[in-house]
Amino acid sequence: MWRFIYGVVLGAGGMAFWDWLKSENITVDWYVWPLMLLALALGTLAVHHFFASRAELEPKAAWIGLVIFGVPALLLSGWMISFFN
Amino acid sequence: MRHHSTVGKKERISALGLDREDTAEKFNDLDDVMASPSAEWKRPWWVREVTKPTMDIDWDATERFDARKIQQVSWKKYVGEEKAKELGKRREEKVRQWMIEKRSGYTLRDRALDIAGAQAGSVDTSFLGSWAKTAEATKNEGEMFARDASRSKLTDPARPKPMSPEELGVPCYEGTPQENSRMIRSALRHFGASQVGYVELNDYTKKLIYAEDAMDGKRIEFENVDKAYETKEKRVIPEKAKWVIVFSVQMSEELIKRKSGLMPSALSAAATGAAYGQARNAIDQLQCFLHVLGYQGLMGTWFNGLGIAPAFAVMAGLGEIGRINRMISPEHGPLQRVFKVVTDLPLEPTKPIDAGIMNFCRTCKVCADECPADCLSKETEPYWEPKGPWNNPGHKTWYEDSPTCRTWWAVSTAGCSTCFAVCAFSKKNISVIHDLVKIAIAKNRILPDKVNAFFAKMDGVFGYQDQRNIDDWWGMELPPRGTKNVKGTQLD
Repeated sequence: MWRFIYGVVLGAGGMAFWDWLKSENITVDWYVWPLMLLALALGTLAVHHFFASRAELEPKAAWIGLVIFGVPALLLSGWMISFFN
Repeated sequence: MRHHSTVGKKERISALGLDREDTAEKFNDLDDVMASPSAEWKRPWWVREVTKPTMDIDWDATERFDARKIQQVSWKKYVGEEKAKELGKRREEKVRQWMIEKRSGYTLRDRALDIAGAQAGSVDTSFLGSWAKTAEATKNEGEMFARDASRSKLTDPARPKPMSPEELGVPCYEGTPQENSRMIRSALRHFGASQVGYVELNDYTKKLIYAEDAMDGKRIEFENVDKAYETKEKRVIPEKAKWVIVFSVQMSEELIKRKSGLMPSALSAAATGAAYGQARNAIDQLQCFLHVLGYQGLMGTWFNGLGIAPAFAVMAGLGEIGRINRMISPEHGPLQRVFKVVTDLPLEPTKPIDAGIMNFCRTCKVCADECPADCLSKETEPYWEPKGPWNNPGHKTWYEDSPTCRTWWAVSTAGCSTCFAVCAFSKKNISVIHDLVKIAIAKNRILPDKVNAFFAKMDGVFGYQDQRNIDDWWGMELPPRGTKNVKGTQLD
């Protein structure tokens, strides 16, 4: 169920983002796309690992994973927000 | 409540392929379903089947092993009778004292769980099957365990002797080796097994069958006879029984990690004991299942069975040999115990695997560093020379100092599994990060040693080797047998 919801949110978000780029007539450099995908992957991994590790009864692994995968995801996201602004 | 399908009957029949004569995969009965490729054992895609195990084997240097040499049987001989007696006496005193002190992990309830798990199982393992133990043969075990093989079969409610097809007046079960393999895997899963593989006995793999039984020292021989039999001196495996069913029973990761620092506790030891108790029943059920089908299922008189467990597990592709000199599987790591039954039911052998596990063990060394008895090798490369007579030579591995390991059991008062508990492959496998790491271990070719060493380091950083609160276990709501890391089943 969570995978389904995540897929719907991701799909809807991706379409909205694409429409926004077109409406604002923004051209995105090629290297931004892999960085965006990396940020998305790291963010997804951080959230998934946090909850999966809690389910594994590994709270330390959950928090360390959230920091290790989540901080780079936030930094990349922050850089991209500044890029689009 | 009745659920209405939005798909009509015609569409449903069509979807099942029942209206097509030329369907590529048409199932007539359950036997067809078992033979379907979709019913095969699904391993993770990064687990590569190979023709030879990742461990080097010199078959010429491999001899059939006397099972009495293993430390579980000959520990007293290796450490000396006097020392063993002294350690045993001190162990008993400590067990009693720690119970009175209510020392965490060694209380009466912890000890009871350990003892009960290992003792459980309604039967002892036997060569031909529990029903073959007649009242005469078991009279020394007391009335409770005596069983009369001549008692009525279908009407006797008290553990009747199972009927063979001959007694039932029906033909024996017959299937292709593929169908039989699928059938045995399904049956064993039902009986509680985790992973199931098969080895064909040839001139090489016969060397992995013990030469002498661990408990009574009877010779184990192969003869060109139709039925297995047993005398006072020997147990005879028919030449036609040339397949070995190799299966594992999982252990609880949550339980095995309830050690006291690096020292095992009675509670952590209960994880191992319970697996043996469950296996005892699974083995008896498998022997009975084979007997009813019209085939023979042969087992040793002890848990160790008729052959060397890690060797058969590696040959069957359940996993690879690891630094602990035991099998480590890609799915469950070392958190399982391996059992074997020899049969004349034709089976399709499963292949050894390469998932990068043995290579990972070269640089990991966490188990050796954490071993409280310092009995695991810290050499990077595996070697041919055994550590002592308890090891069977002929393969390249990290041979362990077994008597020192067992001595530590006596000192700590509990069966030690610290190396199993701290292993980087001992995980519950819910987070996808474990699979990503395993893929990298199996497939990465860029500085693999450095990458693997990094993963081993991060395993500690993430806290997977951390001490668990021992007493918390008693308040936990865990699934049956405390395991939830089965991978590759249709209910995942």
